[in-house]
Amino acid sequence: LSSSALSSEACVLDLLQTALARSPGPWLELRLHDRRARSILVEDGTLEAARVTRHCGVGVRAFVDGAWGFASTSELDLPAVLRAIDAATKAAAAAARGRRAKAASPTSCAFPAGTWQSPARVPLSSMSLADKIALVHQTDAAVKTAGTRITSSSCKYSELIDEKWIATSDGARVHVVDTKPELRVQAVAERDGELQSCVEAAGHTGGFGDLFARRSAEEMALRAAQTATDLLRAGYVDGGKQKVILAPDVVGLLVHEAIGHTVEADFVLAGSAAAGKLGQTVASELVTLCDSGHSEYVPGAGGVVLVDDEGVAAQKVTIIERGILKSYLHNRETAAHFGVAPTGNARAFEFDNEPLVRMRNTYIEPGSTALADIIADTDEGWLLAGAKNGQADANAEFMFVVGEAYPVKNGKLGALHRGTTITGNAFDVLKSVDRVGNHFAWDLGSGYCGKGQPAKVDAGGPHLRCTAVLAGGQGTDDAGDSK
Amino acid sequence: MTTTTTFSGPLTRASDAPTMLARQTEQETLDVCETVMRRAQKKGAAQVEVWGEHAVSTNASLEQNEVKGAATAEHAAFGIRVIVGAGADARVGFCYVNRKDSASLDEAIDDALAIARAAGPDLGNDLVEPRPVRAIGGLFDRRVVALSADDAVGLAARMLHAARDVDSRVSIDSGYVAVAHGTVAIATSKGIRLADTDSSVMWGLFGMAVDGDDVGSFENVSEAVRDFAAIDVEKSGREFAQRARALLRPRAGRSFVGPAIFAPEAFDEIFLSALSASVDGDAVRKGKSRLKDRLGTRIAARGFTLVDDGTLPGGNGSAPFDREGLPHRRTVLVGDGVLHHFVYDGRTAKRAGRPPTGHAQGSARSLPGIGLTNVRLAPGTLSDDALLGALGQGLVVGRFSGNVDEVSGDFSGVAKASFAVKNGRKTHPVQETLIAGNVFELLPRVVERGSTLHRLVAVDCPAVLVDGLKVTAGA
Repeated sequence: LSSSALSSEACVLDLLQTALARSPGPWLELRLHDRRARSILVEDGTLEAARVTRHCGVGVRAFVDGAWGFASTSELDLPAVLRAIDAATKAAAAAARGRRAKAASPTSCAFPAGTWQSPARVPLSSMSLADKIALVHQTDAAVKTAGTRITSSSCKYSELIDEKWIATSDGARVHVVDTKPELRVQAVAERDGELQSCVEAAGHTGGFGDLFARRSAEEMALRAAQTATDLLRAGYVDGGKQKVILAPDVVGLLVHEAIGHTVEADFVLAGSAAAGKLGQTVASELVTLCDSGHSEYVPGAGGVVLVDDEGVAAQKVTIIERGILKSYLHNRETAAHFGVAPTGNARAFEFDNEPLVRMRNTYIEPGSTALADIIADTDEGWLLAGAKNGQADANAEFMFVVGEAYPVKNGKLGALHRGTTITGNAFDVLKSVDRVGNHFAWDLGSGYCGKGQPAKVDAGGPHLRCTAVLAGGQGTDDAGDSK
Repeated sequence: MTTTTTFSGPLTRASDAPTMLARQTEQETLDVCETVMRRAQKKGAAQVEVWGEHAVSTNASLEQNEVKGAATAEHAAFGIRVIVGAGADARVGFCYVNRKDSASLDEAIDDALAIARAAGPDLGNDLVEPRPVRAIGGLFDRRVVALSADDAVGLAARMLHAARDVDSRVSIDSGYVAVAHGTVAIATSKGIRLADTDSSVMWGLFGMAVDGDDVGSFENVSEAVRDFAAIDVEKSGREFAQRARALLRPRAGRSFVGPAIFAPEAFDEIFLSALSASVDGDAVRKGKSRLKDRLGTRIAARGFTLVDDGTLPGGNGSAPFDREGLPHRRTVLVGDGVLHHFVYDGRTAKRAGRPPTGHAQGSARSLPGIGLTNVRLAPGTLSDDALLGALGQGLVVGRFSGNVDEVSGDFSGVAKASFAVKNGRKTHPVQETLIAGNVFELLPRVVERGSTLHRLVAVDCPAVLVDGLKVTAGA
């Protein structure tokens, strides 16, 4: 196939079907993934990097004698695909010789057919490259001119345009089209040699109508500049166990990092903290936690996956229902192991990555309490926002970093304090949830989740009140030694 | 190791089959780079750089205490940088493509030119002038190239069994053995023509110990070597198991402000990452480095010497030339506590009015950035036990899971794989223990360094005793 011939869906599926027909015997999965990506980075008024990338090829998985083999090729002709099938089959056979027991073969299921295209409001193709570069320049300039303390600014726009064809020897034949744009704005403010920075970011599935549905690029620029400036005179958080109100982006980080990873069925099989707990109470009864390939409540979530990379239609999975652990997240292999249906959570980042069990859009369902009422009802604690990064452990101990902390005293919200790190045991924290807000937002769609390979995910929910451990910052040294 | 260069000709004369094949791949990759360069010039580019890669890999993976599978791949990739205009009006565009058919490469050139024509001008858009490049030994081992999928699976299984034989409570969540050899080639309109091939074996384990309801914290090991004879997966398996089981039965830590020993992994994650970001010439020029005005001044305690050396024979971060085709070198970043050098790639050097230092890094997928190669923190004189004795009471931070603000140096996060210390002995693993501080305020408070260097892929680092850490216990 020439590069331009990829526009013909039938032509690509013919190639994959012919390759499958000539390779009887092993279970095979062929996935042709053509990814075109653009990114534009402007820093301090200068275009630092703009690039177009195209990463295209076929990934082949073979299942032979209870073991998996994988091979990939960037050549898109039949002989190259047949060579990759042969390499994957031989790799699987080599793995089988090293195993003590056979792995569960992928469970059978009904496959979606035809073309599945993620919804997009104002498609990315509606703006020229020159206009996208101009937008990034304008946004960077908006940061720089937003205040006298701003010493450095940057803005990065990036987009992933994906087209995939998946065919398996047990009947999957599907074509998937998806676009995911992202905008990140950074402001650095300085006073007396001290530097503070703030990043505002949005990442969605769809088009510009989705990327800027909640706020414009200029609004993001102004907030980044204001927050970085305010942080220069902000105080530090008191360390220790505290009552906290988590904003939707921090809720997203909590459910993704602290719970979501422990219910990925491959982690469960390795002995994660969620192993053996199906049917048990693991959270407050106010908590219902889900992972969905679709964008529930608000359109444009960044982790939309209509059909996963095993060709399975993505389901909405209720992981925790009113505090009770109900389900794990599965691919076709773990579904076979647990005797359940696959949930559409098998994802591969690019053609040369093997599909793994991954989250998509993970969230807590909204409750009934307004944020103002949660604050008014809190004697002492912190409202935390500005989720940065996080990690979780096998024992459900998590840590994540937030960029903004606001004290709550006697039902009143105080001024911005510097960010901090939160830790705790995820299930203990979810059991401590005693208020669930009524306003839902997706707010974790920029950036990537890492698990050997990246994945675009999103997460969110309403505001939550719970108890967690905060790291103290400078100025709280007198918190002292408790030995 | 084979190197092709228009300056000095082939640098090795080995004639074994893997080496001959590597030479052939170098020539083929370089030919494509030159062809693309000439096409881009014909299409109107004033300057062109084409970076080509050809990589062959064989991996075996572990999952849930079993061999999961094996994988092989062979890929080509090209990164094309074009510059239109000259001097203060020079504009840059970049495109990556992983195909080498004419239509795909022509489309990539057109995309790169379209970006360049839409981009704003910048003085830094000028490719570097050629400099002589020398071969570096120990980067290519034909015995590594000869490893098969069966060999990789065998190594992974041996690593798994070595870990499980130490203690059956140790559970391997995932693991891998990755065997690779790769060719890089660069052709530029300034006359650089270079190609090189290296090989590597990497392996790692990730998992925890599980004893009934007691699930220990995650532990991991990872190793990388270029020399076939240095492959020792069983040693890694045993180390992993011993470290993972030591994390069972954690208890609460205590809150204090005071001394702590940072294991090499933790010191690298917090201190060396912030230092690397702060000696980056681009961060310095943009005012995003706390060290921007500190050249020639003391930034760390006496005895603290940090060297970057991309010419280290057999080094995991070594290569004869950088992402722009300039030779790597040895650079003293910090000598006896005093900041000596910042590092630059060609574009940043041009903007800053300084010579490039051979620190352009990156793959074919993006424009070159700035990065270090092999980093070494000079060891001290104390054994591990003597270092614990010097600490007396406090915390050993094994790994760090948190955030390091590379601009300010502020860090806060969870101390993972960490132990309470009393009377110079580790007493128990701690849980939910947060640490916080500032890298640049703590560097002058480095009290001691261990005498044993640990190799963390391309970083050699001892354990380091630092005073003034803020520790917050959760429970």
